Amino acid sequence: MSKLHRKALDEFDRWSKEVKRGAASLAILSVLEGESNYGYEIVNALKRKGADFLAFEEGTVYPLLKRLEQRDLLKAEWNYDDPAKPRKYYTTTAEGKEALRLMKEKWNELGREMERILEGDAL
Amino acid sequence: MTRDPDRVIEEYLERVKVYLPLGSEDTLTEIRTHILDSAERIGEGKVTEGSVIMAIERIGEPQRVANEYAGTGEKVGPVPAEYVQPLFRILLTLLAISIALIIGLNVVGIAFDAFIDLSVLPYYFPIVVVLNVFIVVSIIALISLIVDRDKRITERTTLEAIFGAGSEGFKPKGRLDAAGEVFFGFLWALVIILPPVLAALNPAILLPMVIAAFLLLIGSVKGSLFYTAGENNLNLLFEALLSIAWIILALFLAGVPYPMDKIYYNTNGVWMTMTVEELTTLVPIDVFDLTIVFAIGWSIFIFILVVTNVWRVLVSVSKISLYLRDGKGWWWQGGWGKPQYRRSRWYKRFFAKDDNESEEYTTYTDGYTGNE
Repeated sequence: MSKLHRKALDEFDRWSKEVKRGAASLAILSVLEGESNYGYEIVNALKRKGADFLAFEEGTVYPLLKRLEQRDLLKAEWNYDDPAKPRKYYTTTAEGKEALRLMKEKWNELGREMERILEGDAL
Repeated sequence: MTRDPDRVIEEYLERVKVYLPLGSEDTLTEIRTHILDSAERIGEGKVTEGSVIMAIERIGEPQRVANEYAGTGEKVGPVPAEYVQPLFRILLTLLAISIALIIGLNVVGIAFDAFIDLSVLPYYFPIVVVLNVFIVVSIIALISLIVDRDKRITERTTLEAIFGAGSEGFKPKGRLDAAGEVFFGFLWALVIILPPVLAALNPAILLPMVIAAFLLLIGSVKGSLFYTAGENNLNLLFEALLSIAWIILALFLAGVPYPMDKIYYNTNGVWMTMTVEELTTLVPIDVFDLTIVFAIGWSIFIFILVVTNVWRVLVSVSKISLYLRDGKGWWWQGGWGKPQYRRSRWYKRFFAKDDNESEEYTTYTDGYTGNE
């Protein structure tokens, strides 16, 4: 692998991580919009929605969920129907819904802006 | 050789636990459920070793999970984010042990300034500890790179085994230990205030020993709180304050050479007493001086008392601050640590019904206990 190609790949790797990091919380809030769900099903819902680029290692969803819960964007409740497999169900809070609305708005705006920039007709 | 799927999961969770902050039991439970769900789907309804390993591979390396926890994915100073938690814990453990030993030695009269200039103490200890940890971790990391390359995702690396020691130092009190505190606290308090025991004590130590009995009773109450509510900030604060009281009491106890003024002996079914000096005359003085033996034994007792209580204060204070930072407040239904022996192969061979024995009490942070 040439030095040029390696550096390009490194940069792409860094950039992908940053984009994914920003998008992951939006994706999770979006999956939980209007429904309550637990970690494993959230991961599956993301897969079903075709989140290929976003596909992160499944374990990383849990720290994200915890962070969103700590920031009061999600509230969680344990379900012990199957005592061998307790499930923590997450729901978006009012703050979470408002954050999702704002994030969606900005994400769409960003998408449109980037499209214009990349097509070269931003001016 | 096939392994028990539960065991494979537990081994992986032990690895994850090394990197997570204190009080992450909820996350571990979530990941465990995730592995079981995923393994069940992969194994078409059956959980096997193979399906569990595939599920774990999908979950990912524990460091990645931890890195996500750190929230930045970047380095914290020179340390990769995922290693901050385990390094912090092991540093805290070593510092707490050092401080506990120094205070313990000082209380029993072995002054630390005999070894080092006290004026440089605030700089000396952290530097020595950090340097030593850095050297040890570097060597282990190098060994880990060579030896652990072919290990499976569920197997702990050498470095994680070392970091695991830090987690052990901070694990919550086991339920059996809490029950022991209740029982033995009450029993020893009763023993101390028995009239024959009080009559045999050195008069100079009488009041401190009655206070010790009182503290033992308070310790019994503390044990019952840990037994019912597990580890939470209020219980930890209780433990820290009680430990401080024990350290202060130890300063008074250290003021006497040994606690017993008289010793009981039995002649023809009748209990009599003799003083330690009288006992000394019965033993050939050129062999050893009994009073010195008693004094050494008493000093060791005081030393252990101080070291364990300083350790408890430091660990409790660290945990309280970490839990508060985590937004946990003061009171919640906490969990209990798993006693070490329950995890040993020998214990399982002789006492457990089978190797798949699950936890007797699985308690979650919202108070649900799995055995209800």
